[in-house]
Amino acid sequence: MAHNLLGTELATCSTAPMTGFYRDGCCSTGGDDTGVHVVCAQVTAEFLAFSVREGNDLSSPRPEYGFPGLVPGDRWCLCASRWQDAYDAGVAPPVVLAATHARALDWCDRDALFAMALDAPE
Amino acid sequence: MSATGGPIVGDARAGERHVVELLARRFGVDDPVVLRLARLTVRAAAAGHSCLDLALLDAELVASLDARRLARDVVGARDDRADDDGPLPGLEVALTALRECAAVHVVAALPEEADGDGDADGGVDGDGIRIVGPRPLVLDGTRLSTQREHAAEQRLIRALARRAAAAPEPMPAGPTRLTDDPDQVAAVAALADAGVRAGIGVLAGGPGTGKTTTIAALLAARLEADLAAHADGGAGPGARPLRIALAAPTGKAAARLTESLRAALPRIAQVHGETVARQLGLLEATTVHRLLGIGRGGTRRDDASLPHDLVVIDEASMLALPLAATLLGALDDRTQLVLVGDPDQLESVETGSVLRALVDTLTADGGPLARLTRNHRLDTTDAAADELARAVRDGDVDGALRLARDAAGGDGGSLRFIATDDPLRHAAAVVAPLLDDGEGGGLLAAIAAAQEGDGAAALTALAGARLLCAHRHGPHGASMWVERLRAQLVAHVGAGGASPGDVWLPGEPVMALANDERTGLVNGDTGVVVGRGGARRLVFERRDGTLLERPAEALPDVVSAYAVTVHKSQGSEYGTVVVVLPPATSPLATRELLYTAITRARRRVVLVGDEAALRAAVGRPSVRMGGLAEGLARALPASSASG
Repeated sequence: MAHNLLGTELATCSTAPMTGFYRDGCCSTGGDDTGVHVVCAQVTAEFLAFSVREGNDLSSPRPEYGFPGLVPGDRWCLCASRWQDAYDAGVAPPVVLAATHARALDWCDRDALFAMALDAPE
Repeated sequence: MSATGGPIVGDARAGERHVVELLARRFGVDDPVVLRLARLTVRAAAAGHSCLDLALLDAELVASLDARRLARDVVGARDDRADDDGPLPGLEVALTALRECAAVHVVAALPEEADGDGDADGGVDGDGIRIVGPRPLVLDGTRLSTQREHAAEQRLIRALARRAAAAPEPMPAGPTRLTDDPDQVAAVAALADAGVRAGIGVLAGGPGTGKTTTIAALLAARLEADLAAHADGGAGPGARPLRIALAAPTGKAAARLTESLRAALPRIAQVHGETVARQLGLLEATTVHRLLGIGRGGTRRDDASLPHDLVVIDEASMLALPLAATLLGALDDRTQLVLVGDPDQLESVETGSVLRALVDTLTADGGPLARLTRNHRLDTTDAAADELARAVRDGDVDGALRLARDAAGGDGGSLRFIATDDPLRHAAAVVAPLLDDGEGGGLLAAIAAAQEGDGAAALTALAGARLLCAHRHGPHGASMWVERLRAQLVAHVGAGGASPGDVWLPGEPVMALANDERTGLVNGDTGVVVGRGGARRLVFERRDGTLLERPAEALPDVVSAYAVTVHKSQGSEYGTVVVVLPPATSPLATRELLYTAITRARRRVVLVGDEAALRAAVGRPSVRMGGLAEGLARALPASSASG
């Protein structure tokens, strides 16, 4: 069973658009996923613009990769180090802890993730 | 959907996993010592080392190899899992484990035995290299390498040794007319002669010392002699016109070389005649990859030797070991090779420090190494910035600190030091020289020009000043400063409007990340965003001086460049350079990085950081583990090698 950052079973991040490295709606990871797409984030206009400036356009559809193109408000499994980069630059999008894989802590600062959580525990 | 990495390339963790799996599956290796050393060797290669020297293996070295730490510059919490396998093995334990391992090729202790006829029997490729078979690791003395890195190093050493022994046909050079600087005249003579005696010539010098003038003088002298031979109707070596190739490791550096040579043409026409100038004007520098016909797979499409008589490689400090080996392999012994560069600058982001190994090995006194030391390009109000560059280059910590302290209060000189352990708290002072460089350029002038749609003027304004960071990401990185500057500049865009959610702002500097055949843009080319309102266009200056203008959406591989990494700034110059020092604990805080950053400035350097950071960087030379210098010293004849 895959665990999330709250220590419980990993919840679905988004099925519309269908996200996840395995396109099953979950931010789980495996040996092939060197990018470690484990952070479930709700993307913002500011973050999407930042991502373009970083050379990684998440707004434009790329059908050849099964990528629909994101609009603000979509939830998406982001590469963990990219999320931390955005946090360091001051433009991190909010995250869903229940749908973020525990392995995010390999790359991301725990306090940063909890500070940006939409579902922070009391 | 990958994005830009930091200065460290590749995913070291994927590479480590691959090698460990290969060792376990194909060779049945289960010795934890060997598996750990294999992982560290791959990690060392990702950090630029062509081997892991077991004699140097300690906790500090292991920490410096952590690619995540290098790329992210965060010390502590997130990175303490990097190597958690307990105490490191001692040297004898490591050597014993490796020697007994079926996956490790152990190089014979006496390399002399491999010379001459000895290696004619089996297992030898066309270059005379002993093929080490499918074993993925090579142990050479105390140096453990991947087979790929070891083979490249050996190929390069063999090729240079063979060229030194081959004594190619002399190639006459005419008189040096373009310069009367005694150092440069001597350099031309040494380089013209070196190709004959050593098979390679190296021209080493810092910024402004006249390297390009010296190349131009050498080429013009060669061409004049060649034309004279033709005019005499003589046959022999001069029977066909001299073939020259100019190249550099990056497209940007190649474009700059072409540009500099073109700028020298009027003077060449005066002193060498119109014909020589016309011939030189036909030359166009390319990337080394393009010169060699290297395809996407990283290998040459065609094994044929290059047809040139003379090959000149500029910015050779950026020449990586595998590329240098391929280059040497592509040259006939009769082709003269001249490498030009600044050995004190940052090395290639890939493995090896080829130029430094050559400079350390070759002899300058009548040998194939020519050094230029006098800076002719001082465009500053005082000498402080230039003195700082020299103190940093020479590792003079006290001298650098003294210069920085003297510059702490000042504002008008060539050097300014903003002493702080928290650059963000001094953001206003950091940003001020970027907004207005004091010479009519800077970001505000760029915004004004960009809103008028004047891309050329905006590009000129942007060349006035730039912010340089050691790291791309992290709390000290370029990305953070890009967002900072944007947030501040949104207000300056004024009428016509801009909002924090906009992808691009008018006047925003941008950089191409990939070579694009359709547009002619090369990786590292810089441009600017122009236009009012919503529709933004990008304007780049191409290498031929023409402007390329496209809608922003049409050029996908482009990143913001309000702040750039020092690695990406190599080969560029700006009027004012603001350098945010990496913290003292960062493995990127090295002498070469700081020297490269400072020498990007033509007029003024603003250093931002604390004294500990400055002391750490000046005091720490970048050391790359590798066997090239030792191998060259052993393989080259005493007449050309100094040690």
